[in-house]
Amino acid sequence: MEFVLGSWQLSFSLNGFSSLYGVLTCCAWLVSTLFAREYLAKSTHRTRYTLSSLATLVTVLGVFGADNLATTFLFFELMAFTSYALVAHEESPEALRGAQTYLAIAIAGGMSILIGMMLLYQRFATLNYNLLYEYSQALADKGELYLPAALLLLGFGAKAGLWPLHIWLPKAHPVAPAPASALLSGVLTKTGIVGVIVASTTLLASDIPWSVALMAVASITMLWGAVAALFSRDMKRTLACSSVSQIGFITSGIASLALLGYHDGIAARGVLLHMVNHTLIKLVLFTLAGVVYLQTHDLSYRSIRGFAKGKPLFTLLFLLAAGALAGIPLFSGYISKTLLHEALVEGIYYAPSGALAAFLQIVEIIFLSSGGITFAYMALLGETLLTGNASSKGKMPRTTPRTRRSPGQRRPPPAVEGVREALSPGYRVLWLLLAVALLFPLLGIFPILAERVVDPAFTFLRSHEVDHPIPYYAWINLRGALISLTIGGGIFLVMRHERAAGTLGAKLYELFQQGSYDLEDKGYRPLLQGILGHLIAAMQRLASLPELLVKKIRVALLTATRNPYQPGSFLEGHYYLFSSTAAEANRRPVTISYPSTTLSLLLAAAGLFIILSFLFSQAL
Amino acid sequence: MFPSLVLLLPLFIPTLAGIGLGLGSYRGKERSLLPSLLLCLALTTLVVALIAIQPPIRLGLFSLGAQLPLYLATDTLSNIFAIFVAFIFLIVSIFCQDYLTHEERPEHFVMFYLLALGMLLGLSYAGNLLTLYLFFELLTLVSVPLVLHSQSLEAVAAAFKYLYYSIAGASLGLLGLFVFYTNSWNLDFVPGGNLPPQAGENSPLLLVASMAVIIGFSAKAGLFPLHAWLPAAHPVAPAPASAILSGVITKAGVFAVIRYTLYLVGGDFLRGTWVQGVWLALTLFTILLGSLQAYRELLLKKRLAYSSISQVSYILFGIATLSPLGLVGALFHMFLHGVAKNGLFLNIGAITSASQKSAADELQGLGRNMPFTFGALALLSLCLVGIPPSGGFTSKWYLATAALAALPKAISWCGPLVLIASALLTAGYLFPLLVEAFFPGTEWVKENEVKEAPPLLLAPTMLLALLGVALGLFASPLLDALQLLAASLF
Repeated sequence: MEFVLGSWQLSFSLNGFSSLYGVLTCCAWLVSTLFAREYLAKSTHRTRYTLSSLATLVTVLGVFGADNLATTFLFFELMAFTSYALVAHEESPEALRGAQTYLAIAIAGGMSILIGMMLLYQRFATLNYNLLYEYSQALADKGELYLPAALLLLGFGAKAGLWPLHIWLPKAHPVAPAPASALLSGVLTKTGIVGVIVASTTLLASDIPWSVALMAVASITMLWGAVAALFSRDMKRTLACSSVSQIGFITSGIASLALLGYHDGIAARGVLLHMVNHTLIKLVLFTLAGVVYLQTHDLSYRSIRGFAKGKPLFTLLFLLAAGALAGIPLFSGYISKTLLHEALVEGIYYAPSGALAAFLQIVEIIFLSSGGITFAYMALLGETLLTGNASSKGKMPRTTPRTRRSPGQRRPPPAVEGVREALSPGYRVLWLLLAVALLFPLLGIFPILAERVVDPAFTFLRSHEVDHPIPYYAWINLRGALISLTIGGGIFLVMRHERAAGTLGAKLYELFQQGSYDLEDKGYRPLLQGILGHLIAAMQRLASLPELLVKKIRVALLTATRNPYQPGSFLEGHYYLFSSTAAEANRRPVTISYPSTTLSLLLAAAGLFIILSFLFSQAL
Repeated sequence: MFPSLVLLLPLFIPTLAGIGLGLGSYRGKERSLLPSLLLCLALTTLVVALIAIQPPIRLGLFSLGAQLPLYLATDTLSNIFAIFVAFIFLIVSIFCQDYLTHEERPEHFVMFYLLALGMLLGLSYAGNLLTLYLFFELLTLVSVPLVLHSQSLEAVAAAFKYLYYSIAGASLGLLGLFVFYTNSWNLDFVPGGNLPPQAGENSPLLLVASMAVIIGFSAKAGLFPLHAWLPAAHPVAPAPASAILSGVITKAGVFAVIRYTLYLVGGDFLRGTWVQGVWLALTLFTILLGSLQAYRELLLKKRLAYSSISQVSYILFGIATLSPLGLVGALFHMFLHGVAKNGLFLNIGAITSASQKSAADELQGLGRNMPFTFGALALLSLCLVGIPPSGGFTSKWYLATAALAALPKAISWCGPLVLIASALLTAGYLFPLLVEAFFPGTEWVKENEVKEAPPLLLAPTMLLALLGVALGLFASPLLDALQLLAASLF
């Protein structure tokens, strides 16, 4: 569908992918907006939040529906600005800093995409996806496409949260209001994935070197995010780091597409299903974090200890989502991770060279251990929420804190636990979430449903149909999950012990929490500030050169050696020299020494004479 | 079809009205002065627009000997430039309505404001280089009092700095005039160049002279090495004067450079020579220089002045590519920057006059007090950074693709890279203002005494902000016209 907006030829297409993600986006927004009503009940600037939330919805739908790169880019850029207000909503120093990082990464990423776009347009004179695909397929040598594709990957990958530009996620998600975090993590990161898919399937379809590089980035991302989540002691931060890790899983599937050739259907299904899963899971989990926050006003593990006690609905929701995220069999997360794992295994099988197979084997190890760590950090979070001796803070949660209730009025006695949950803020939205969360076991038990949902979207990934039915619950596939879960269980036990004993875990925790690994604070910001500082200083020196020259000439021409008035600056001298009244001029007398001036004037005249005679000689 | 004398109208209406208004005395009755200013500008804009739809007109003024006539003539470029100038002056004069009532001696300001317009229109209708040179010098002379207006020590110093830089630049232009004349015995502007077939060949002197002209006329456009007057002159001038200086008068330098390079020596003569190389290098260097300095600067007007140095060099860069695409991008950016930078200066003027704040770190929370002013600032910032779908994106796209297409492969990537780096820096020096204003933080307490700027200060900046976005959304008609023009030049 073409749509001309002024001089912008916007082009949209309604295909399997855009319908799938259009529907998902709207659902996510529905849940988030309903929850925001309660979450922000006492917040200021609700109008601003609602406005930017709706504007972001428009831009997100634009990105998913776009059929050419210019349209994608337009909405992608606008999204950075509309969603800024969501991140910065709380206006606390951390929120503003997180939002600053978010905006800086988004703008820089946007510029990177822009250069990539220009290069592509320069080469092919079109930005339409289908034409780009045709033209790039026709190229004998794809070498010239690496640069534009890498630039696109940089820009879109930053939004998706790929290492090493994932830094904004752990900063921005925890500080945004929970309904916004759910959208940022569940939906907005996927707009970045769209770009990654375009770079790898439209431009560099079935290109092995590109896929290997992408696979390397994906494995670092999934491991890094998972480890960061493991050491996190804040619920939202854990979820944000987990998002980074899951994006790594999705990207590994995208990288597998090219390695599998005609058998890429399995990878495509894994990518799409894991995207859908992640969107829904993070929607549920971040909303749950919001519900927790409404009562405890703090999401550190210390404060939320034992929160879920006596809250069956909350517990059920958390377990469903966590199970799906960890990829436990019978949950939808198991299906998508199995597909991604199977794609890797088949990649090893079809690998043309031994080196590639070895590389993929390493990736497989990282994949399985990251999956294990996923289980471990969700188990740690779950243990904290479900068991844990509720701390004094947790036991007397500031339920519906500082509401309109007068302080004298007693809260209803927490005699019946169910009643307490029912009265807690954000309770109503939990029922809505239940409808979402029940999808996890449903899709897990009946994988055919999941296939029906995602298979129409294959065209977007330009992949082939799946050539054989996949026995999800065959031993060969269960084995991968079991290895992963065993690793995870081991890590969980070690971490639990260490956390209790406060030895290794605590030390690592310190290390991670205090940002020794923080790429942004230890890397990007100082680097950028250093470069900018030096550059500005150098530029300033260069820029002042002409003025310095003028000053020197002026001194040479207009002042004598024995002049009592030392020329201070260009400006001052001129002012007094050309002052309109005698009084002003006399205030700081400028003595012009005649001998030196006449000499200079003479020299200038001689120069002029030489130039003029040269001109005449040319003319004659 | 008008008689050719109609070309005198755009010169004489503002000039005579300016002198007439300036000689009167308006103590206590400043308000009576200003509607006539608006009327005069509306009339001028109308006349300029009418001339634009006429077939080309030529009007001889007088002659310095038989071979050196001074005359006015219209062509596409002059019409485009004249409409641009008159329109911006018209919008800024709406701002003056309220602003000048608080200034001293408004009649003096009005006089030189109108005189500057007259000279700019003369510059745009100049038919040969001699006429252009005449109006170029006159423009300098009548715009100096705009900088001088407050008559403070800094203002006087800055005005003289501006005067010297401009005159030094124009004298370099004069050198080029001599050399070119000895080569072709003719100074008429002809699309594509007016150099007799073998005249310019193996003439290193003409190349040197072209370089001198480019650097000299670009002094007004703030090209390194003659850029230093901008940050001195802008902060001390009244807001409408800074807006005009930065938004329009800098473009006079650009216009003169276009006339010399594309209408006299011609793009083919310069293409691939060292002159083009140095020119490109200077523009790219200036783009970075301006953006970096602006990034560091705290005083808002000075920050915008540095930003102008950078942005006007975008335009010069587009011309320096010596390609049709680059010229389209350059002229489009001329419009866009005229609109956006005028809007920004007027916006800062409105903020300063409503809240007495003039530095970048004082704007905390003001967005809550003045939502419309800062809303306009947000749109203008998006334009200047080049976020789609605003006009800034369109010009950036054209400039960068022109660089990729027209320049040799080895250096073609420099252009886009510098443009993007500068766009990032532009975002870095404009967006924090908005963040401070709209997201002041939890500790901030609202100052209630600061109110939204008066409607007459607000209207022009909002209008320009919307126009900047509209330029991007509905760029096609303008781009088509520019493409036709560019096609005739190469």
